[in-house]
Amino acid sequence: MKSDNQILRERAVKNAQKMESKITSKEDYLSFLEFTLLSQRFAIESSFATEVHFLKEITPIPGAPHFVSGVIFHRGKILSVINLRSLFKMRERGLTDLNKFIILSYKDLYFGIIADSITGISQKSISSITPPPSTVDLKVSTFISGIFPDGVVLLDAKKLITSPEIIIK
Amino acid sequence: MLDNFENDNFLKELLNDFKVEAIEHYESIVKGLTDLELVSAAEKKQEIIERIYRNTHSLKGAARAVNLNEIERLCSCLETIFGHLKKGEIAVTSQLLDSMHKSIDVLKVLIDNLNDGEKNGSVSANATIRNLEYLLKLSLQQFKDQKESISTDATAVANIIIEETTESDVHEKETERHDLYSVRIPTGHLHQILSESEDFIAVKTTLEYYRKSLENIYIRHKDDELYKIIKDLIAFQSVSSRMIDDLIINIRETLLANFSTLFKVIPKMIRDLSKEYSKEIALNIRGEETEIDRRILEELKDPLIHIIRNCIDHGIETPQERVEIGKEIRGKIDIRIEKLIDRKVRITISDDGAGINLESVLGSAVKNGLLLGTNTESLSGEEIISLIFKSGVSSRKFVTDISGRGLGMSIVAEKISILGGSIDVTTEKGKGTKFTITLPQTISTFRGILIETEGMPLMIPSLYLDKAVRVSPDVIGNIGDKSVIKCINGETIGVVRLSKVLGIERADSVNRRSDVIRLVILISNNKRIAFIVDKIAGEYEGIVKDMGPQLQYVRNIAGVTIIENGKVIPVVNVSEVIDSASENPELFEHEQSMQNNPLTQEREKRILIVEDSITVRTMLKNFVENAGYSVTTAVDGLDGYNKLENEEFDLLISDIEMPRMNGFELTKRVRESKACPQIPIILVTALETQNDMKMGMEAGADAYIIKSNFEKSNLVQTIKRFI
Repeated sequence: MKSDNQILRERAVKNAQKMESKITSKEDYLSFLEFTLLSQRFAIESSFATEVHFLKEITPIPGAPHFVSGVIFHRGKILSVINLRSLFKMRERGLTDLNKFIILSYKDLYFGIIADSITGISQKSISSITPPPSTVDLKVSTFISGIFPDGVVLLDAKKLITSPEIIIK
Repeated sequence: MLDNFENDNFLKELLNDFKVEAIEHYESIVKGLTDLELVSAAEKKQEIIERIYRNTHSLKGAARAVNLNEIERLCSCLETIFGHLKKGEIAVTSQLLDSMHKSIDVLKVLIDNLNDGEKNGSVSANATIRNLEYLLKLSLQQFKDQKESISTDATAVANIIIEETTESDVHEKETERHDLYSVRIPTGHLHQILSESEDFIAVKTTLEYYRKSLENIYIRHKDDELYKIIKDLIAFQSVSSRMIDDLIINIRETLLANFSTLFKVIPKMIRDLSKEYSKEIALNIRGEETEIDRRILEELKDPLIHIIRNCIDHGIETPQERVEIGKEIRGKIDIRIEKLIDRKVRITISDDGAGINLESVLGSAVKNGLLLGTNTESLSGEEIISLIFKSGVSSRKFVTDISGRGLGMSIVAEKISILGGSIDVTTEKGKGTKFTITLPQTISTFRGILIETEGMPLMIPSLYLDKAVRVSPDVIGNIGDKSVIKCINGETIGVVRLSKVLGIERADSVNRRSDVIRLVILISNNKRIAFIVDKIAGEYEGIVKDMGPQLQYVRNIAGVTIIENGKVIPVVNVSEVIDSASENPELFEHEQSMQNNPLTQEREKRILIVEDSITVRTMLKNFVENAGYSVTTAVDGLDGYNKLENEEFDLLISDIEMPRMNGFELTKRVRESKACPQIPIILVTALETQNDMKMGMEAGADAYIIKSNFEKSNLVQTIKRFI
């Protein structure tokens, strides 16, 4: 854990410096946390991704929506964990290794999403995204901001975190 | 502060509290002094000196707060000596320790004399203080001169102190310790007592049951002696019921305490801190009489003190600054406690200081890598403030001894959340900061029984539990097509599988063979239903926690609780489960079919899992174990084959692609083996072509499952098809 933190910290410092130069060159580069689900790469604006950890035991909650894998006890807090694969109705095939979770938070809302692997932090130009192809399920596409030229799908974190479809009251 | 304490009763109470605290410090000092003679390691000594120093310091402050001048001065003197000891400016000698002990005895007499203002057994604190001062001077001198032994002068001083203390007083007062107005009991113990007293409710219901039984007999056999017994029983029942009710109410009340017990330390603390920081502060506390669970109150002490320290250190400006910007010289700290309607308590702590410096917080967060290179400009003020609850963030440029390390607020937030509460901050630059803490009035502890259904552990609050019983399947009968059970009292209640109501049952669970059925009879709103569960695993006590902001409501589930090994267990919302069951009468069908099942002995089925990837292996193991099987694992085909030869298994689950021996080969070898040619084999793999499936079947496998599908309970169903 410690080394993870260290790595993240170093990354953060590194990225922060990069950003400064990017901002001065007046480009619209932002920092993204990238992860994979099955073979698909996803990105999320790193300001919404507060923590990344190895997944501990998940307790399934009977009667919770299908996309909620369950809850975990993390640092004295209970938080629910969402399986995007299930939310996005991605085909359940192939070997997966869902053993990481990313805590997404915005204001007082937070929850975890599980991922196969964390690829890292990248700087990408927000204006380079193209809208998702029309073939994408409408329900899914509401959570997608677009696709980067390298095929990484950008999730709309704010929408994901605050969507009434996700927040179960 | 003392001006406000006009009320005599309050002062009395305060003195009593002070006495309890003082005795604690006294005892700690005595222990420290004794320890000091016993240990030889310099490091240990230093530790003890440090502790005594703090004790004398705290006692001094407490005495000052209640205007006990003599005790304050004596402690101050002791504090000074220990301060020098701490810095190594004087040496610990046995003579010095003796004098210390004597002075402490005087302190004890002073404390004991507080009792109802009695002033018997007068001792002169002044003399003791003078002696101590003299001793200190000598010791300092002596240490400077590096003399080997303490001079005769010092010994003389020690003797003087003996004369000053009337030893008989000390002994006399010793016995009075038992008459103190309060005792300290670990709250865990109180809760234990509460839960034990609640068990008496069962005595009440049992008495009621016996009375009814006897009355029924009397109707059939009129008997004078029996009539007398019943009459006596009724009298006894009414008396004992009242006793039990009173007991429970009283114990519940002991668990409530009002905030004033917590806030008596605050004025003193503020006074000390404001002096230390040369700030002037007016404290205003309202709503101290509000009551809250004692355990919450105790846990609340540290977070509240931390917040107040923050207000003084970070918030309130220095008098000069305040005058310059046209504020009143005295900074204001307001603490307000209110009881909210839904059994919650709100504490607001506000100051009229400078407010939280958002730029510093942001800078600190960025420096600590908490924002992972976010576009910091996009953060709102609210979002930035919330950063102070993150570890490592501080608005201070310099760390002081009381705050600025950036750990405090994150601990505060965590503690409050553990208590089931929440904390919010608002701040306005130049105007001040306001912390709002909302807490439940009582810790919602509950006792519950841990049950298991379909391999899923669940907690059922004991409050709703009527009975947990093991019955034979033929006890369950039916009315129409609904399963029912007859209770001892003749009432007929519906029987339903809990997993069905929760929607987690598996297709075959109804037909599971078992010679014993475990029932939990739950009651809510006078509705009673018997639920079939797979296992009853014992009773636990816990706190119901919510499931995070994303999962604010789930039907039939009240929240989760954490049992001793850190395992998270969902807690059943009994009234909803009973409603859910009553709304769906079809759920009650077919439970009677169980009585037709042959009775077989329950034995845990053993399954061997052969899989080379550790992740998938562990996942599979957990998954299968959760379904109620005993699991052994092997790392490849060869390992698996060896285990099959040496141990007995009921079923084999194997991966296909593995080093040394793959799944197809393993299947073939098992079928040709002597040990267990008939064992059901399930192949699990990522391969998905028709050809693979064909190869597997040809090798002799019984089933073929695609990996990643097993979480859909496909696997467990498949296993159940075979064993």
